[in-house]
Amino acid sequence: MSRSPACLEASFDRGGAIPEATPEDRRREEEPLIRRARDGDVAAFEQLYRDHVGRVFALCLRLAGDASLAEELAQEAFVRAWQKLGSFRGESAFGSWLYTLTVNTALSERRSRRRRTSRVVTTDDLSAFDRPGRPARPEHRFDLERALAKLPPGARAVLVLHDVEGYKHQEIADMTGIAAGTSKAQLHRARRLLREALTR
Amino acid sequence: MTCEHVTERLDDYLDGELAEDAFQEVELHLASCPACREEERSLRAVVERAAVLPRHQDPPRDLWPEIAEEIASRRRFTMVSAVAARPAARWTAGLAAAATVVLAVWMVSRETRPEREIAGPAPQGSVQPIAAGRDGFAEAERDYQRATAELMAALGARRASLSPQTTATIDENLRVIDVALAEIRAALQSDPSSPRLGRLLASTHEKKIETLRRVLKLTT
Repeated sequence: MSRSPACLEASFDRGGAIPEATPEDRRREEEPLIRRARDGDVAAFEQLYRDHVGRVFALCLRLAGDASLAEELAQEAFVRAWQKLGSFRGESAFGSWLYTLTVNTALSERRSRRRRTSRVVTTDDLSAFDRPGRPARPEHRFDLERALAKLPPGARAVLVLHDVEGYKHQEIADMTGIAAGTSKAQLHRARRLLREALTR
Repeated sequence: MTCEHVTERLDDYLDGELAEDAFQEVELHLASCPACREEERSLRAVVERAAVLPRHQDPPRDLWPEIAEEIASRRRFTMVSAVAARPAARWTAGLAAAATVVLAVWMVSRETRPEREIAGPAPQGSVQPIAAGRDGFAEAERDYQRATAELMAALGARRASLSPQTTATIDENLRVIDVALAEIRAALQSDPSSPRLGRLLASTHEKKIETLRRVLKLTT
């Protein structure tokens, strides 16, 4: 299947040499796909999947701290997106809607797993991050990813959403159901734990 | 402003969320306090490193085939639910049970994927794990299969009185369960001592038996 310009843009985001598609370009390109997918066209939805899976998977991987669980979460997020497409009104970008849904999926799964089992997450398996073509200083990145994966889940989620994904505390509060003040407190804690881990 | 006050405000300072006067006060303190300056520098380094992490990461494998399969299976579930919702349908409860099985089987198929994490304690429930090991599974499976065969024979005797649509719905749901059972057996081949897979095998057999019993009760 051919990859759309939107997908190419995603592959090079943060520092790529290829000019990025503007949000308006992306919206124009995605509108017909969303409309067709909403009408039951699975091929159109597959194109949306291919355009967004990298961002969704990265988000799941950091929120879960575990590669195999991240795969499950990403799959579940796309299945939920398919089911809820009817409620997407286009008031925000499709990507924003999808990433919010992904965060909700990942966090609700974590709550549900916490109730069912005292699952132990592997934190040293960084093979999922071991992909070619990414940042200039991989040794720094792996240290950081490893330290991130070892943070307590609540602190990790807030740090990922705020410092990596760029959400504001109020947006995090709306997505996760915690108070904005709690989000700030978790971020304060997470940054200091991360600093300790990186200087050890 | 004391060092304690600055420490409390440092995150907002780094995030540009301080009001102008508070911002100026922190700046003033940092200019004269090496300890707080070091605190600010080290935290800023963490924030800057996190901010440039790539937000795009391809998964190690293509996740689409399983998503497509799941979408297709939920479409089947929706169709089953739609049939079950018809007010005149004598089959309402039976089909709803079958629809539940489709969902349960989806959960089973998720659970049978290979896991890397260390498994937690057994989930709460009535299903007891089948004794681990190939012999334990084989023996328990024979019991379940005997019970299933009796129920299937009873259902077979009543098929002629059922509508083609009803028969097709039952067959489709039983087929989905059988696919799940096959997946679990395959997983057990590579991990025969897994108590979790044993529980899944038992619960899936029990769901099949329960569905058959309810279907038979409703057709009597």
